[in-house]
Amino acid sequence: MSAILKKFKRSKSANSIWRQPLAVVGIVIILTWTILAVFAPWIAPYDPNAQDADKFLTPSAQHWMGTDELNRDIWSRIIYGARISLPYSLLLVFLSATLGSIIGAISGYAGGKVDSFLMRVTDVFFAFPGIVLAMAVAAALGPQIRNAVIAVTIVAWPVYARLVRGLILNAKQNDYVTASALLGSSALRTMVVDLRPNLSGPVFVLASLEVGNALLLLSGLSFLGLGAQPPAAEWGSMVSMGAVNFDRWWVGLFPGLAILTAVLAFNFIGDSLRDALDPRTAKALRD
Amino acid sequence: MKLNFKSIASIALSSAVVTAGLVALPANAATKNLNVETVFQLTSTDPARSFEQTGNMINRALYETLLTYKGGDASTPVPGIASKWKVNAGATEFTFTIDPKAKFADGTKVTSADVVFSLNRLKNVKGNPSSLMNGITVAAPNAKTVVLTTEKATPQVLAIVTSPALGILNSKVAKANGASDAADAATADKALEFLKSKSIGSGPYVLKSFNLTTEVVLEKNTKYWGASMAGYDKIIVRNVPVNVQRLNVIKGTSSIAVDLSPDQASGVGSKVNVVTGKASNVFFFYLSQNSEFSPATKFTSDPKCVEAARYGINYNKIVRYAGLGAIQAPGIIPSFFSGALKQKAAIKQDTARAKAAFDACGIKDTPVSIGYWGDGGAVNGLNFGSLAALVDEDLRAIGFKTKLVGAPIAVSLPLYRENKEEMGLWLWGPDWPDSTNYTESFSPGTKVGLRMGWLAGQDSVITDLQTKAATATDPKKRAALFRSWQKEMNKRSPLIPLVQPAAILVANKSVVGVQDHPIWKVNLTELK
Repeated sequence: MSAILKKFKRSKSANSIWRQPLAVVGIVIILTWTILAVFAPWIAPYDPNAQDADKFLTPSAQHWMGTDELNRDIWSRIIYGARISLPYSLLLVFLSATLGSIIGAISGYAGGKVDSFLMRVTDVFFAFPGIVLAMAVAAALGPQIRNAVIAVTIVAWPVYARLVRGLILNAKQNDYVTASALLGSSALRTMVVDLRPNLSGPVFVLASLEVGNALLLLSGLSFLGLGAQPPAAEWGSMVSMGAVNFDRWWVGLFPGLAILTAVLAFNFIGDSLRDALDPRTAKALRD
Repeated sequence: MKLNFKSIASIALSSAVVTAGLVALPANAATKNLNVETVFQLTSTDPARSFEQTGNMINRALYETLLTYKGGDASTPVPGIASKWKVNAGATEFTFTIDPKAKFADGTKVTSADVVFSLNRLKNVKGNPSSLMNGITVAAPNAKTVVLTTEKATPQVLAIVTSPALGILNSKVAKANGASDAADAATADKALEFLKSKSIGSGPYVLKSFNLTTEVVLEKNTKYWGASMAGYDKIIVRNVPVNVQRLNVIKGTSSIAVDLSPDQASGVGSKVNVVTGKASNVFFFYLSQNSEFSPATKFTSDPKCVEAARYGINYNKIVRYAGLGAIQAPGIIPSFFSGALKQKAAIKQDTARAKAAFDACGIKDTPVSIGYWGDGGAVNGLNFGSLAALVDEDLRAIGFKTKLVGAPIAVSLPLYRENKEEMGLWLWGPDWPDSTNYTESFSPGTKVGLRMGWLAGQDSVITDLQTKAATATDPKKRAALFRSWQKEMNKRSPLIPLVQPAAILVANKSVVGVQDHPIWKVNLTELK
């Protein structure tokens, strides 16, 4: 990862990303959420779980975003919610990218029956709608945020496996791979040393585009009661409380906006990174 | 084709006739349906195994019992399958005469043999409601008479026989499909799946289809023997989250919403009636503490731990959350029943006392888990997760290292029932409408007592009061015993009563006869 970043900083791409307004907007939003999350104890006006106010207070100077049915300050909960939603989304993208890349690399490099078997397994996962499969896994494991991360990881890895397999199949035709094999490199060494540099960029781009989806999926599971559990301040479960009390608009609207801004921001950044790191795909999409 | 006036007129006339016919057809064929929406508390439609609120509501319409109640009443039994009954002076022998008109949906007559089979099956199948038959033996001296006997005075038998779990099955059909009433019925009975596909009762409705997660459909029993036929051709009981229930009520697409809280029932428009029960709801939420889960937490073995939790909870906050009409549960017996405690007897939060008790109990850094119905589980609009969050906040404030462990009901309920939860946030609805239901279920060594690791013989004072209350026949003495029992329970039982929510139903104005009932919530057979 650090190698990619170093390469990225040295490249013209780093300059080009700052010239894209949407990328800047995305970075500013994510930075803002990160600052809010890191400094939540100092920024949040109330303890996110304190039940001292009255229930369903409308937004006011005391409670900027009102209070929920358990008398808790919604703005404070949204700030603390960033501590769950953002890091867990990044974690599960990291996990699914790692898992998918390993499976895809093995599949592409080994070929033959191993490739067929792993790709059929991948097809099985693709055959189910993501949210349904994630719900089934989360329900089976028990509702808590850790299990929701596992559930979404299980849903999200196949896309990386497909990508990496395709890249490996292409790359292993190159002479330097054959030369490496002739010099006695093991399969592991060939994959890690010779092939990995070809994969990092596209996987990184895909991962950055998937963070928004991961955040949505994770929030969706919490919305359904299969993710974060009370009293945790998590954006999806907060929207769920808003859905039950839908005529108290502020209960669901503000955490919904938090999800919206974060997902949009990640998508802006992902798009811009794709333009910078993977210009061929970006051009194909533009054309 | 050459068109002239005659042909145009005949085409127009034919079209008009066909159109009129098509328009008239749905009107003639239209069925009168009722949509009931609730969050399912349902395991099956086998009376001997179903003991949850939704199951009671459905089985009340499929199976009839010896006696029953009308409307929202739960104090004066009226004839069911039995047209007459008498009780001996010692309240140990109950004789029921079966109505000669009573017949099952397939047209066969109900006999005393069917009653004996059904009640013995309930007892021996050892399902969750089997405890209703504890201490009761059933016999049939002749085809029309059934006698229930108990060893000691048990005046509550007349209330017990109204429970839908004591619904009468057609014994011949049941046996032909694997049912057994033998002593080994717990393993020998194989009729569960059959009874989820077909009902074999004598009620005004029959089972059309059963799906544990989506809907249960009932159809009119066209051969119903009783005076009042089913009011609807079809009743669809749907498993619907509370927020969607509310939305459907506002849109006017549901007939009855069962689970709305008073807050949610406000502002739902002019098309609906909000039906309020006679009192606050008969079910109550409670926090249980289990000594057998982990010796480290010392619940029940060290009364100080229980005391810390009991006085640490802010009950007013919970009542406010439950909304208009809710009350703090001052004891275990809800205000609906004889011997309920007055509000002034309710536990008041005392954080100083709670903190002192917590320090004395010595579980300072021991993590304590609280199990509950997660994944959005709610009853009467009260979300278990939200209630757990309220309790969690209070217990943390006095030093407990609590951890909330929600799970879907299919997971969490068995954990609680099998004594595998450290602390649990649950609710209790009466199995039969009498205060003995509580003394017989929550005392040491009884059903709920055992779920908390509270074994028989661990509290002789409470057990003594339980025994006396069970056999007392004088209403005033009974009520006094129930009060004493609750006061002792409030001092040291591992169960902390929290809140009795308001009893409300929200129904479309077109539905007549909606009343809240403590056992089956809605009597589907009375709706027109």
